[in-house]
Amino acid sequence: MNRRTFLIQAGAGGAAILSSGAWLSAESGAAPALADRLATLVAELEIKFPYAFALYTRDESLTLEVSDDGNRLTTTGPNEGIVAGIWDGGMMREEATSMANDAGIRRLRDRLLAFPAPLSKSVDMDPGPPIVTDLTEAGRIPIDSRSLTRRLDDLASLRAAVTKRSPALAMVRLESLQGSSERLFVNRTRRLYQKLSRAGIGGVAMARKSSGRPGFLFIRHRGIGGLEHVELSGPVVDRWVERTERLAGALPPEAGEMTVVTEPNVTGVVAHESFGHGVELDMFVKGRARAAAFIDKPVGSAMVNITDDPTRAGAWGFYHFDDEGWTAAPTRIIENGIFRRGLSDSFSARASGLPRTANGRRESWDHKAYARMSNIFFEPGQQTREELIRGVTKGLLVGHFSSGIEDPKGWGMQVVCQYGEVIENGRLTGRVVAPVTLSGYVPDVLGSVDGVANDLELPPGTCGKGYKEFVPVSSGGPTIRFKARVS
Amino acid sequence: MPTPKNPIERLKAIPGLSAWVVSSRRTRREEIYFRRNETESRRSVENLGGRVDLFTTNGDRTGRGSFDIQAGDPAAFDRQIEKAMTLARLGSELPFPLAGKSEYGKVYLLDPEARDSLETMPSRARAAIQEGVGRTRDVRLAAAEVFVTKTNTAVINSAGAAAENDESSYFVEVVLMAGSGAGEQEHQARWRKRRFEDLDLATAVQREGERAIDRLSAVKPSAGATPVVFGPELLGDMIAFLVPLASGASAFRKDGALTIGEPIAELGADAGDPLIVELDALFPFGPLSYRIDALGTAGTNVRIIENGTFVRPHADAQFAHYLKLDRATGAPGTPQLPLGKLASADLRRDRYLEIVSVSDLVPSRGSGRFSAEIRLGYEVTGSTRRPVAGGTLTGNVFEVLSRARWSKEVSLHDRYVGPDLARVESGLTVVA
Repeated sequence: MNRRTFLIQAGAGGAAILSSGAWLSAESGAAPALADRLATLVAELEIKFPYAFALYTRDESLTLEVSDDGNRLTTTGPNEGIVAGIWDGGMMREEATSMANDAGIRRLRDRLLAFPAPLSKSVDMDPGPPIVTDLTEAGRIPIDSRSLTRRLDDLASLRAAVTKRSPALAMVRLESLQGSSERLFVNRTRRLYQKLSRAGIGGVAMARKSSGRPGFLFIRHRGIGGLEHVELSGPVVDRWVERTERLAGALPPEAGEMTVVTEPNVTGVVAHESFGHGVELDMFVKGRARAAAFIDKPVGSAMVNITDDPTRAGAWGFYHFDDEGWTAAPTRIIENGIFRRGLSDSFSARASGLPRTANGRRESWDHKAYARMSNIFFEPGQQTREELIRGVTKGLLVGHFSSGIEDPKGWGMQVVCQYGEVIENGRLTGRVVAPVTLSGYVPDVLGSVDGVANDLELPPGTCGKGYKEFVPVSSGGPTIRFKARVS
Repeated sequence: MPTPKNPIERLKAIPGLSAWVVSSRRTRREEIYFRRNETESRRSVENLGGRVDLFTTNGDRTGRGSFDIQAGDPAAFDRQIEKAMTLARLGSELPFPLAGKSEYGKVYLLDPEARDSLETMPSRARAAIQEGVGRTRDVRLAAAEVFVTKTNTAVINSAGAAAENDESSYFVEVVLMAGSGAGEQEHQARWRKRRFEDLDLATAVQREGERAIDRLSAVKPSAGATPVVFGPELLGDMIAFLVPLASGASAFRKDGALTIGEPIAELGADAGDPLIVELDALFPFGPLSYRIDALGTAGTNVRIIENGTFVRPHADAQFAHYLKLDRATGAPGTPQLPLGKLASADLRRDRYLEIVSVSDLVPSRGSGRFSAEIRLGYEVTGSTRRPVAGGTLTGNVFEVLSRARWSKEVSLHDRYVGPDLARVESGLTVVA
């Protein structure tokens, strides 16, 4: 993947803020103009409290869908608002409003100033060194470089081509996504603005045979950037069609412990559920993570290296700074099988005394920040996918994850996948099983990793925390081989 | 009556606009987060928003463009309209009429305590949680979150539909710890209700505390096929999977596993109590109840499953029109299941595995098959009841629901109204 290029925009010119009245709004592109107003808010709050911040967020998306019953264009958002917070010496208090204008800012200020002042203004709350940034990621092929009409036509042509590939396909639905996420963070030392363009393509296909239940297969490709992310290559389409056909009438797998070879999007979910959620430091300070007792201790085979990196160019979980104003940087979580560091937000770093990382993220302005992943992945190895398969006497190739769930305290994990194919004597047999659930005790699973290929991918996903608080992430890696319980 | 007049007058003047829907949604929410017995954070959120949906006629097809609105300047609103009209003109769905003016039933969704004392309710919930924890020895609170929300929703459309309603919701999540050192165990629970009294928090937390203690002695379950007894958590997961597959959208597109007029599972003599699933949008304080849906259809009820057969989809105005149904039933309302003939005590007899919770139920859309890790259960043989955890429970949602026998005790649960307990004699297997 190419390194990103920045398009640095000038700051506040062209703001569309009106001066007063109930009908005020900050539009996309005018967020930098809010910075002065938010800086004033922070300064007013810090007369009384030791630390204050303000964060503006705006998210919106458009999905183009083509299916049997026509074209549909669906927008989400714009969802914009401001959250401001103060540290009162004992806890964080936040007020949030959808009114991203002067009236809204006044309401936040008045409500926060109504709280009692702390007994002491001395507090260990590092605002970070002074930084001002104004960054936009538009991608290699900007979204507005192709008209919506042309994109719908392209999507319809692709759908027709996919449908024609197999008479067993009873339904094909394709969608193309575009959107943007803006963040403006202000505290006493920092003014950070970023606008990230998002794009992707995906779909669902259904195949039927003469009897038995239909087979479904969802695919999705997304990234930060532009229309370079809305292409589906020929080989990807071929595999999608072939596997959808095979899933029609597929039986469940033989249950039990066995060797599995996971494709990159499943590998990524293994990383995500085992040593992603399991090392979010808010779990440590709540006594909810077994990994807390394993810092600098072995937790997997020496082939296991897991990293979280918000700076991965183009990946779905990319950002320049987190929602608490900390500059993005990678975190090496597991190094040659040894657990090194977890992922923090400001609260968990302070409470645990462990190093802070740039992983404090919110779903949006109306949600709290938690320690979250960004782009988490197994680092690639030297082998090939074919070598890994050849080394299996009896097992499964597993791909196309549906969902995963973690258990940081029990150190269990569960990954549900849409597709499995039986491997016997080092060869794929063509016998498809579905759905496939992989589960196991994390140290056993990671300790059994004995093959890591060189085909790194970073598939997109959405991560929830406690079945809510959804943030975009990527979870990836190469093809890997290990033992798990299959059911 | 709902919504500001300005947006509507503006919409009425747009050339080429064939229909529109304007909704407003004004929310206030109070949140408290605590770690052990200390407050980590308090938050207050206000969201004064809404949505505009615009429809155009494009030849013999219709297009839709939408956007969210928040308090904004008229010029921004006009620009959003222009963008939405551009999108609408590119759409090509089959046309459909919006629901017009109707009788809107009275539906009670607002807790007077949330209405009058929103800011103090999180602290009351916290006190109840702490009381519940205190009732169980050797259980500690690791963390908890409480969200209390009140919302006013109003919808008006170009066909004459107009209604508004107030609602409240409570979301509570607790994490309890039992034991110590390497043997320490965690147990999570969460609840969603519309009224504080329905949470009965102290009692609910006490019950979960007892389960946290049981986790200390939990062993792996025995492998193999087994009768299973389960309660609202697993049953709620299954209902949440079933209802979208019974939608008008799915029936029209033929992209689901269910076919109108056919049983959801072919079981013959293996069938349990009659499976009836009704969706009732007017059920008081029901988790999915509403007065008017996003397109303007009045809340109502519809029976989608009768004696195990998928008899009729729930359908909004769009897909009810496409399917030529006699009426649109709007967004899905609160699911209701029937009561059975047996008491819970009678369902808990002889040998069985009782499932309290699984990690995550993710059935296959096409087949209904699932496999989920057991977070907590109890293996019962005669008078012996031992806690189990680990292993996976495998089965098929459609078959489980068709084989189940329901308890005669029913309650308002987080995701449905219906039996407190269900029992299935066959079809479920534990892989350990």
